[in-house]
Amino acid sequence: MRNEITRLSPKIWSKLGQRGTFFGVAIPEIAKENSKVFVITADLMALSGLSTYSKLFNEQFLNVGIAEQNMIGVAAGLAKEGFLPYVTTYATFVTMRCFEQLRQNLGVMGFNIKVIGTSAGVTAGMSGVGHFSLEDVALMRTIPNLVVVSACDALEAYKIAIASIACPQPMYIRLHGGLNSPMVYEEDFNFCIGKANIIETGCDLMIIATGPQVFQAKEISRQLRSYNVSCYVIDMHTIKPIDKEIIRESVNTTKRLIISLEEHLLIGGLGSAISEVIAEEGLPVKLVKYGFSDSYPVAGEYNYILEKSGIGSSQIASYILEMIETKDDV
Amino acid sequence: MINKHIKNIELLTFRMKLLALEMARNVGQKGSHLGGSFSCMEILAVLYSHVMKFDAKNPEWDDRDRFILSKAHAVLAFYPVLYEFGFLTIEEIKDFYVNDTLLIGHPMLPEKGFEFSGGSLGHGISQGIGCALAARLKNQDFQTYVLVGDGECQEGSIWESAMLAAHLKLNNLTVIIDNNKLQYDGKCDELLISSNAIVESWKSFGWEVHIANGHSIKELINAFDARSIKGDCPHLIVADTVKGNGISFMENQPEWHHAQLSQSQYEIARREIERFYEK
Repeated sequence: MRNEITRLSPKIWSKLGQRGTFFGVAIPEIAKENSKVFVITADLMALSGLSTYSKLFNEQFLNVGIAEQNMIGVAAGLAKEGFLPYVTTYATFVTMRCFEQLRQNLGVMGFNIKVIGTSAGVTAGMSGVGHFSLEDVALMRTIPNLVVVSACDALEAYKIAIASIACPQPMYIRLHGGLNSPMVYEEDFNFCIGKANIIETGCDLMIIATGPQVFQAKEISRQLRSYNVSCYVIDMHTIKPIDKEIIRESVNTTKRLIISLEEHLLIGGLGSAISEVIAEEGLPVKLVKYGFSDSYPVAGEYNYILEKSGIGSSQIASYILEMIETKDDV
Repeated sequence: MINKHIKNIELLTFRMKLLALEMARNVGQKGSHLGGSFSCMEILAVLYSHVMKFDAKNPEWDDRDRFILSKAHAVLAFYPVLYEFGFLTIEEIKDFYVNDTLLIGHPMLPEKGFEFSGGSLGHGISQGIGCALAARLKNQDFQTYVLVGDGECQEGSIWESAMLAAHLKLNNLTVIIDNNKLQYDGKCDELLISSNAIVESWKSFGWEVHIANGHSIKELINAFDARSIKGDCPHLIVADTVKGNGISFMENQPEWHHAQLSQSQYEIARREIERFYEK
């Protein structure tokens, strides 16, 4: 039986965070319904909220130790034999340490393996760049046939997990934060892989964000509203295949300005994906990308890192205002 | 009886070698991986004629034993054995390395006996663990076999999988090392580490290790038969081999890892192989 999404679910789950909801709530549900679900972790069982799952679903769980390359290969063998593996560790390790295993097994051979990268972006603030995952989206986007999604809050992480079961393609699922993740969705909503969600509508510009930056985009929108600037806020949870339609719509619904916002290096991430659509289709729309520019951010507390990198909510709101005031053509 | 069985496998190996030479010659300047294929001819011949259960008419039979060629470049041993057992046709063999055909680029073709796509080293044992674990979970009694090179054992992922397979006590997994002691740039022990040191590592991780002359059908059969299939550890067969085995100008020559075989070299090699099997 599925957990019913009640009025309280988003609040309760946001306390568990994206990772806790994905592995502590959604995965046990999925595993109960589908005995082929098989979860593999690389020494992050407890941190991922898999302790209970590992006891309840002992036959559908494996901890391979600190060995990400092997984890992907083992998952491929299981997938070949009819299982549906969900493999997980920190986003930085599950995408970069074993990139070639992902390419071979998920890309070349197309095995339906769900790869869940946790603590994505700068979640691991104090641990520094070694634990930051800032290139993962760029890398995963290059693998043919791989679906790339990113959760903006705990409820969305739950919805992604449920949707992943029916998705025949391998997926990279990017989860952010620890406990207490901010809520974007306060009640149940429609989630469809590849179809972006409109969080707010406006007429001046469109902020297309992914991950926790959707929450940040709402904050930016709120700040701009007091200056009579109204924003579309888009939750682009699926970065590949990207929702081209919503990008096209920005031409008619806004003053032809898109702001992209992501917790990732600017090269290769969401902003790049949007720019590819704009360039390929020759859309008459200006794109300004916010994320980490071509350098690694400092270690520190979450908001400190964003501000130090010039991408705090107030900073971005100021840039946008300045841009609008100095440029008549946007 | 057993002598006849061994003789038959020797004759099979003989045919495989002649076919491999022909294939190598036919691809001309494209070159091919002769050295590492001639080191594992007998291993594949024994696996397919003595050890594994399969049905070439039903290649995806669910209870077949799984074979993973982790050292995937050894196609000049793999394709001939698949041809001999009816997985591949002579037309398909003739299309070796021809654009848009099957036998190019190490594809995954379960219907032809290629369980996984290969080409990059260090993947096979991990995939094999997945298969072996699945057999255990599904209560199936098929075995999983993975052939790796000794040079390939320099890959870190090999050791990740070596630890896990032993930890999981996968007694339905057998890894065979084609221990030819050479890699692209020379001798394995001069470049990094001796094969003997590697063997000790497998033992220390908890694998059941058997050592055999990898060119002796009898010794290989004995090694495979000596495995304690009901035990609680995975099995390693270290097959001591010679790269380019049986061909004078190729034996122990690293440059024959990948090289072109000219018509005159083909003729010399063919004569040497024929002479050896006349004995």
